[in-house]
Amino acid sequence: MFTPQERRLQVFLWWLGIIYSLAIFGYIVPGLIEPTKHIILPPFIVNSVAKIGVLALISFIAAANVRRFRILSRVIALGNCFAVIAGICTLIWGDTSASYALMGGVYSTTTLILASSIADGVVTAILISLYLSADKSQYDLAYLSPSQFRTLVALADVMFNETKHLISEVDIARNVDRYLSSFRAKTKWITALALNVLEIYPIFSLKAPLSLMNPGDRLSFVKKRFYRDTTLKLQPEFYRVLTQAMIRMGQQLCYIGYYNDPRTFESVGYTPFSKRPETPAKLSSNPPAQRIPLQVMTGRDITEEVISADVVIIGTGAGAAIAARGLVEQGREVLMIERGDHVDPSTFNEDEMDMMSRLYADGALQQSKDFRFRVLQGSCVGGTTVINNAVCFDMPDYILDQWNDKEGINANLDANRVWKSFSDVRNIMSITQQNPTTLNPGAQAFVYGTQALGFDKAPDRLSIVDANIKDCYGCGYCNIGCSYGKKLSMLDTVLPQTQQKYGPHALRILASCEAVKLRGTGNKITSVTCQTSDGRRIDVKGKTFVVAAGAVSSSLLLLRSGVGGRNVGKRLSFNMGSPITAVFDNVMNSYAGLQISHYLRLTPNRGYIMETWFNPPLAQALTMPGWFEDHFNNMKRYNKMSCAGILVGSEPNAVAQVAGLTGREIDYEPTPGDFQKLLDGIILSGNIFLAAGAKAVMPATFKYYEFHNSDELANLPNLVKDSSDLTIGTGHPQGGNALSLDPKIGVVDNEFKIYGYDNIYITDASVFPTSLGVNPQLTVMSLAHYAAPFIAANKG
Amino acid sequence: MTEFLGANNTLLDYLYVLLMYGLLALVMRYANDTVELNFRKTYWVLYIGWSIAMFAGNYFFYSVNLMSFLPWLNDFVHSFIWIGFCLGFLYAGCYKRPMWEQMFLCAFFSFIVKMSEHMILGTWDKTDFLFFHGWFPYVVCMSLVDGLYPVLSQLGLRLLSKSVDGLIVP
Repeated sequence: MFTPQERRLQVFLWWLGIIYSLAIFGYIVPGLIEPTKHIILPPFIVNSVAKIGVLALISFIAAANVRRFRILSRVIALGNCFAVIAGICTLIWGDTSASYALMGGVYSTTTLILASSIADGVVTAILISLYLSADKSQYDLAYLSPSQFRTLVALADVMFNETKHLISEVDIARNVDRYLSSFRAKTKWITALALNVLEIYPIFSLKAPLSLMNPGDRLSFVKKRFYRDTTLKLQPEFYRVLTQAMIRMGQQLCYIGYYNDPRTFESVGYTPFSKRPETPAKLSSNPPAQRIPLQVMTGRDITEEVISADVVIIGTGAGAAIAARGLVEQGREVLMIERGDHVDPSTFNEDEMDMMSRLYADGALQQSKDFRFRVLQGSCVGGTTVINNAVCFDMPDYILDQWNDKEGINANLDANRVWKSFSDVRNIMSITQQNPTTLNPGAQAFVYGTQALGFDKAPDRLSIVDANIKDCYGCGYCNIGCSYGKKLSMLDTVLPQTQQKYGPHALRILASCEAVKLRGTGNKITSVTCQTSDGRRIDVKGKTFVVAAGAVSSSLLLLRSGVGGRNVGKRLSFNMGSPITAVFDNVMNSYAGLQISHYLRLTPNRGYIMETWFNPPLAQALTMPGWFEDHFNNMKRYNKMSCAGILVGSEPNAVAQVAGLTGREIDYEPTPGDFQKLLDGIILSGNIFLAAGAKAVMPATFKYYEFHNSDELANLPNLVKDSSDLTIGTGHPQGGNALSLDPKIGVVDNEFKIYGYDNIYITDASVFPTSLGVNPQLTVMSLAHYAAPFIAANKG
Repeated sequence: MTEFLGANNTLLDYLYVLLMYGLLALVMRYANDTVELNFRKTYWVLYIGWSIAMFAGNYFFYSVNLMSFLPWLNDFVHSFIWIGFCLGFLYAGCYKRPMWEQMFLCAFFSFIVKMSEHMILGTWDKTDFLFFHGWFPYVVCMSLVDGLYPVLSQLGLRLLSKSVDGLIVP
């Protein structure tokens, strides 16, 4: 059944076929009846009749089934384009001196060619317009173009070749289209562009576009060009980065479309929390937390172009909320500005794709400059605290010593006050060690392995994590927002509690509104220009300003505003991480528990910590090792797997800059030292799982490897040479606006005030001069708590 | 027209001069790629003060025979684009450095500009200047005068800041 747009195209093609057919006679008949000097030249007639005849034939075939023979409409349009180009070339370079007698008149060659080219051009324009409209109507797409959609369908066809009975490729692509349309991000178009390039990429190897290849050829092409050539490093570096990025994006989109679909859950052995047998009992014995409503404004609630506040805080995450709380307590009135939306926790659900699009920055598509490093950050009211694992570590002692080193960074923080802030925040956020009964079941394997290798004894430390989670159900959905209110995120605790205690006027929150630029005069910041989601600009004036939008976003805001000098965006570091997956004989259901439940820290410090870790199927699929059938087979063993992440506190060698195609660029390449630490951690984690009886362990290598014993695993450094061979990422960007008493190093002083300004502060992870090497949430909150009195004392 | 463009000069020659300014500004950007927000008001105050003063001063000093004649367009681009925009930008990036460093940078960049303008437009050509003979000592001396930009700016800002808010006084 064709859509109305397709029927319009069909009618047009019928008419075009008829006109072309008549034109055949138009060429032949005059030549036979009324021969003129030039126009009856046999080659002209023969060629013209052949051309127009073929076009007529193609038009009729295309009209017979505009959907099945879609490509023929493009062929006709292309043929007409060639005709127009040929006409223009003839007009420019050809001999146009002759004239012709036609239908009672005499016309110059120029007139005839011009008329014919215009006619061809008009036909082409109408055809393309009708074609695009018909094409779009067929799929009813929200974001992708029909061509991108078909590429995705073609890619899904080779990624999940065995699973036609579960979910069709078209459904996979539709899921992706829904996902991409559901969030705002400056980087989305790169994904769409990658699909376009994937489509035409085979043409450079003299093959049909990806969607037109038969499935067998397509699979072998994708394997050869995107997998083999990149793993064997047969391509130049720049070219390899692009091809790796393209196939990674294509692959990840397919996994998003596939593994998020409930029809696939059974095949991977996954049961959502709502359908687990023990869930009703858990919910009745320990009911979900009663939430305090949070009042949030959006751009629609603001009619003025200029609004005023006492203190303006940019961001609503860990650092922003704790600072806001401290300021309100001391009598200041605060307005918080949040780029992301306010997602009511009552709408949190088990749909990973839905939640990722609503809660994550750039829909979780944020990548480094070379597309090899994924940076996950929350973008919603509550910030990353809404989507993190809530794991809390005190700042390691040696880090504070390193920061306070007078010969080095010289942060000059008052150690006593810092530790007091840690203690206070632990109370405010109810941070406790988690209940052993709700942990990720697969983590027990890691514990056994650690004990078997003797790393569970002092001075090494194997422990259950501390977290701001209370009475956890172990649903495993920390990373997509806790719909039960058990994770004590800023959205659930600090923000609503502060509003409740001091009144909504004391703490106002403006969501879906991006801080674009700070404005000021002399040493004073006077306002911040914000853009609402509908594109309207609002100037927010204030006496005091606090930037706490997260390490990357805060740096970019300062850079865009020209605030903070040349150190802004520099000294960016991460807890660089890479997972290792272990597969066991028995079913473990690692997804059914607290996602991060244990950590292992070695003494002397090896530069990394290990954390047990597991995800619901979509997030796990995105980091699951293997390609094509290997990945697919691994996902079938999803419920027999356990996973650990290795976190390396990286050197501060990354840079955030307002550059590139999105104005948001993270330039990062792990140093050889950091990369070596990561490999060391992966090997040790692998050995721990093997000691616990794992059948195989799989680091997240680009080329797929399974290791079955320690000897094989020891060979990893020979197989993985650089970061392009491994999937690495982070949820913990730190630095960019370092804290130091030395303005040559720092952006903020020891009161967190930006150098050169009287009334602007930073209270997020961007002030960290170096990476912590442990989850930074508690340190962010504690430093914000430490800074709050300084900010409160500043009246502008 | 000679008074406006200079003898034998065309607008293309001025484009070369502007290109030179642009290249030098590009070099300056390596050290500091933007004018810090807190310095922007100061930058524009300096721009207006220096551009107008230089434009008028160049003619005044020519009329009292202390400088060679600058064709009007040369005077304009030199004052309003080089001194106003570029030297101000250089100053915005280096005003926290030691004074001798600031003076050296201003003099050095000005020397390159004056040499370029001399070679392209034939200006900055005064054969007898103070005790010196030939155009080169004149260009060197004028560049050294430009090296006073930071000192004079500091003095000027100090005075202005008493009546104008939001100025950064180095």
